[in-house]
Amino acid sequence: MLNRIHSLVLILGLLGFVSCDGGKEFVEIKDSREPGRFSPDPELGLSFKDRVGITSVANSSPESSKVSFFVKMVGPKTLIDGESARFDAFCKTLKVGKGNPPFEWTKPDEWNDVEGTAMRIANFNFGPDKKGECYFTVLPGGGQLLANLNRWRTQMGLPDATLQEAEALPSRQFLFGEGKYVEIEGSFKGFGASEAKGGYKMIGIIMPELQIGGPK
Amino acid sequence: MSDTQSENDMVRDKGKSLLAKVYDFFSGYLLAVILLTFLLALTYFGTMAQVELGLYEASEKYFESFFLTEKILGVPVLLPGVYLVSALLFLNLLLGAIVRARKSWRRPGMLIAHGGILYILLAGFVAFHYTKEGNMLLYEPNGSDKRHQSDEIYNLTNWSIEIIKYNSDGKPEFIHVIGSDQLGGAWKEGATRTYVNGDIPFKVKVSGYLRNIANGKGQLAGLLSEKRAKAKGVRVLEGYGVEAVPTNKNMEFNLPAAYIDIYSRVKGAQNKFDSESSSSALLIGSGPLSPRPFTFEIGDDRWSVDLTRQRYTLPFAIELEKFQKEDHPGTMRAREYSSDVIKIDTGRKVHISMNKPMRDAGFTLYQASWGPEGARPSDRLYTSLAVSYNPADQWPKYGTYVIAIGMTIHFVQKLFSYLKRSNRSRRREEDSQ
Repeated sequence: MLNRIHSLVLILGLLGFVSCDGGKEFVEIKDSREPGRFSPDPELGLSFKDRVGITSVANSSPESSKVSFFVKMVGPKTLIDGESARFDAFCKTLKVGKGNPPFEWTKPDEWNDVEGTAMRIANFNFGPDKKGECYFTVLPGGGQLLANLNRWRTQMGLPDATLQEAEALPSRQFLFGEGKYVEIEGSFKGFGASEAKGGYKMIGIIMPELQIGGPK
Repeated sequence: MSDTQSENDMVRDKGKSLLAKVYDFFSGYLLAVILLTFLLALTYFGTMAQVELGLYEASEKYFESFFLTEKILGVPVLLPGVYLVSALLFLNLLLGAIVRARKSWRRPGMLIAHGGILYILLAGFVAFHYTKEGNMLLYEPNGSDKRHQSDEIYNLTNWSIEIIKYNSDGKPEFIHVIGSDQLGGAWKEGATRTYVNGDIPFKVKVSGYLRNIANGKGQLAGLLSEKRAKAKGVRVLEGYGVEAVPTNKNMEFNLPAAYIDIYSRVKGAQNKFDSESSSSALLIGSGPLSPRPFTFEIGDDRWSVDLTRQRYTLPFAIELEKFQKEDHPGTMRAREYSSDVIKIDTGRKVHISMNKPMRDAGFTLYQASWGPEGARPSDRLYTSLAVSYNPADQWPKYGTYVIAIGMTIHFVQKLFSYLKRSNRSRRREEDSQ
């Protein structure tokens, strides 16, 4: 029995040795392929910035290096009224931290995590039938305050606000600055939905077009 | 087993040569039990690790490796990988159940069944080494470009370096590929690899290869400005340096980077190159739809090097005729989507939908997804077909049939011999009465 175990150890050791790369000076390129008949022609002679697409950021207007932050909660009015304290608590915990993407927060116990999307960094639902939702979004560029406010108002079936109305919105401490606090009621029609849902309420904070740096 | 028997076995074992002992071990039940135990444990560890590492990395660590280290109760333990265990199991079955087993027409069932298991293990080996997988993106036809036609697929998780020679019109003439098998594996800090080919008049030295420099949103989080790179002691080329970013669980979101140096071949020498590099570049993984490789000239010829998702050219071309999508009511979430495609060279028309792939020339084309994400009604959509070439595609099915046949023969024989014995003993009882 002992001999058999010794043999196994010896053989496993040998196999491990054989599988190690012996540190060859050159690696022979063995694969090749024909160019595809319908492939787009490569753009040749480009600098690093053009190859990677940094030029457009570096040389473009400051607009393209701005980022907008949003946190929004929407659902039936009674549900949102009951959850507004948790919304405030969640917003206070939201901060820049370690990780990828670099944000941290504490989720209210009563909310459910929903898988994030390309834009929704934090994404939750709550309430009976999970009709309420809350999410934190980061958008490159993202547009100005009035455009975003009116985008939200349109979702709630409300007419556009004026610039004065937008600027008169109350400020709220958010992330690393101040955002504008929005509280509106109406018939909610989300992106792609065919019918509006009446008796809905939306609350949220918009922090538009914050200037950020280029590559680190 | 009685004491006399084990003493006899020991005496017989002592008389055996080392080779015979090794043969006994490799064809014995003990090894089979050890390997099956490892297989069970590795399947458990590999499955649980998918939560932490994601599907691709867990699969690479547990199922595609020779050896791995696993922390068991906080202690790192060296374990064989599923690849090694499967190879040894194949050997063990071949020697024990085929070569060493008694062969008799009275017991063919078990021999056939074990043959079936061997066939399935072989299918795993062939699939692992020879499968080509990738995706083909075909845009809806709009009459102004050829983005609705393609004969190329690209792998979402494997990266390669393509070295392309151009003709005088600036068109790619031929593509040499440093495949993911040659580019992958562990890159220790400071490691370099130098790639050569007799048809290429230079060598390519790759250094500082990083598996990922992007965060989950495709932003180049690991790209450093010259100042930052110098402060960190990172090599700077073309004004930038790179540092590693933790890999994303979804491997398709990872974007690798590497430094390359080109050394011209000394004229007339096979493996002698200039000591000074003629060109150097920082390569960042590029997308398949708008290739922008690093370009340089050697002699009168123009060449390029690109770090790109591993691509394969298919032996046929496909054209998207129509993409159909049906959403869940009131949402933009697709309930059903399908593609009407034409095989360009033959004009064969095929409707590809979720469970109805197209099979042609050993390739299988499945309906995988569509895009772009969040497209508005006026946006030009594309269909994404998952394409797979696996020479052993149907082997596990055939292997299962073989096992079923073997087991059926075995059990039918057992049943007959049982019935025979019962008959005989009944007759004996009747005779004795």
